[in-house]
Amino acid sequence: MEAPIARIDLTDPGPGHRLAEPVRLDLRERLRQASRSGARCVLLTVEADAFDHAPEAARLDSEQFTQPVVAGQVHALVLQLVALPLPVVVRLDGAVSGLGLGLALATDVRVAGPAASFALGPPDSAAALLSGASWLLSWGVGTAVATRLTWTGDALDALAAEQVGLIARLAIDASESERAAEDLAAELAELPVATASALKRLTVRDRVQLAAALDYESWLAGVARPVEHMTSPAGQEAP
Amino acid sequence: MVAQQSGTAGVPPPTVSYEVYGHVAVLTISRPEARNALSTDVLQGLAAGMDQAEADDDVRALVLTGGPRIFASGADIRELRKTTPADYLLSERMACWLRFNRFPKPSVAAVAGYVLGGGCELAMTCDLVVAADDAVFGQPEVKLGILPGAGGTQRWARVAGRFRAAELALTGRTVDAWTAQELGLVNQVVPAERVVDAAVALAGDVAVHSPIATRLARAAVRASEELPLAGGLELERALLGTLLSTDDHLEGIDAFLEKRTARFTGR
Repeated sequence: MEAPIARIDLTDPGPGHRLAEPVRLDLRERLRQASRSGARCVLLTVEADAFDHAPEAARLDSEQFTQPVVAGQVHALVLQLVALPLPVVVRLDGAVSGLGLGLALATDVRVAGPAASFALGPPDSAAALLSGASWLLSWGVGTAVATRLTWTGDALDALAAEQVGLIARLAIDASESERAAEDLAAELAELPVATASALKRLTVRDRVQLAAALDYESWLAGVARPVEHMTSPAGQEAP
Repeated sequence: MVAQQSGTAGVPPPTVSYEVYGHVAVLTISRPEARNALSTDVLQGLAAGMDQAEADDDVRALVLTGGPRIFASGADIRELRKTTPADYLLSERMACWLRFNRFPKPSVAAVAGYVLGGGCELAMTCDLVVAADDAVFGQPEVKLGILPGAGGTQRWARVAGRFRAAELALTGRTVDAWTAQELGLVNQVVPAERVVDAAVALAGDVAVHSPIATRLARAAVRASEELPLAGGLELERALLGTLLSTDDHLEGIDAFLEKRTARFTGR
């Protein structure tokens, strides 16, 4: 009998490796498998600071983040999560920033422990540009919060995040967040397939706008640094 | 911008430049002192550029742009002031617009700044539109005591519906790039600095495919504005039948089955 819950556990690889390309590719593949597994819900458990991507982005060589890379590797992951045909519960117990915030916002229900915090990233790095988080934050929480986090680099602690509606359930400690996420995933997995499908469509009907927003953002990756060469079609340098 | 090839024979007037990047030709209007107003010279330059792009079998898609600051602010008002009805009907301008409508290859407009009047109509002759985030679209001809005469009323109605088309044509109001995208005129909105890059990339995404398939797919989409459904479906079937006789269709299917990139030749 197929398991009703597809579990994806994302361990924290430590600074320098969080949401790096191998991690992103692995996550994409696991999401793909989850959507084909017959499961009725995905439970994504993010260990510690595995979603704390803003410091990583700040350290990266900006040459690595061209428009095709941002669109094809980073934003594609966000869109894949949004497009998954089953509900996704994410459990967060650490710092969530940059692309990590974008991915968290792309899930359907967020459960967090008291150690969780949420930020776009410092305004002097490309982290905020790379994730679709700014649009998702505006859409899900409101423009005022999104604007403040964009310009100040502030982080919301778990309580503030719950107050603005960024997380659905705030647990008192890590073991309770684990229990709350499991219980919620089990409830969603019990929903009739047709009901879950309809609910998913209702809550992601802005997907077209998200895709357009991410497309626009991907081209901002070239605005943030000087464009020295014109790229010919297929992203190749013109001679 | 480094051109692989520049227009030589039949050299377009200097207000329009012609460059090629791989399989994509780029026509750039450059008349900044007049905000790229569409004088007869500019229209003739565009027509000549399209002739060159059509004749070159290596060119599979065309980008039309005024650069990252402005696309075209409309007709040359001073020229229009002197135009009589006979001049208008018999002029080279009319011939140029007809030529734009006949261009057979996929085209992408890269628009920024003012995209007004004839400029908007020029963008609408293309198959795809990439707009800068500062682009402003409109048909303000009614403010001059005339109306859009190069397809504005007809194309806006087909793109956005009669009521939105009427609002634009009757009030002369403008809409921004995001609104134009919501109305269905614009495919992508990008930062102004990247509008030409984005349009060339989009044209490149078209140009990697079989040029016969893209030309016929484009023709089928355009025909949908003219034909009733039954006729359009029949046209689709006929065009598909044509493509089944090509080498490109065999190459495309073989490449898919062999999990490799197709190498289309246009035969």
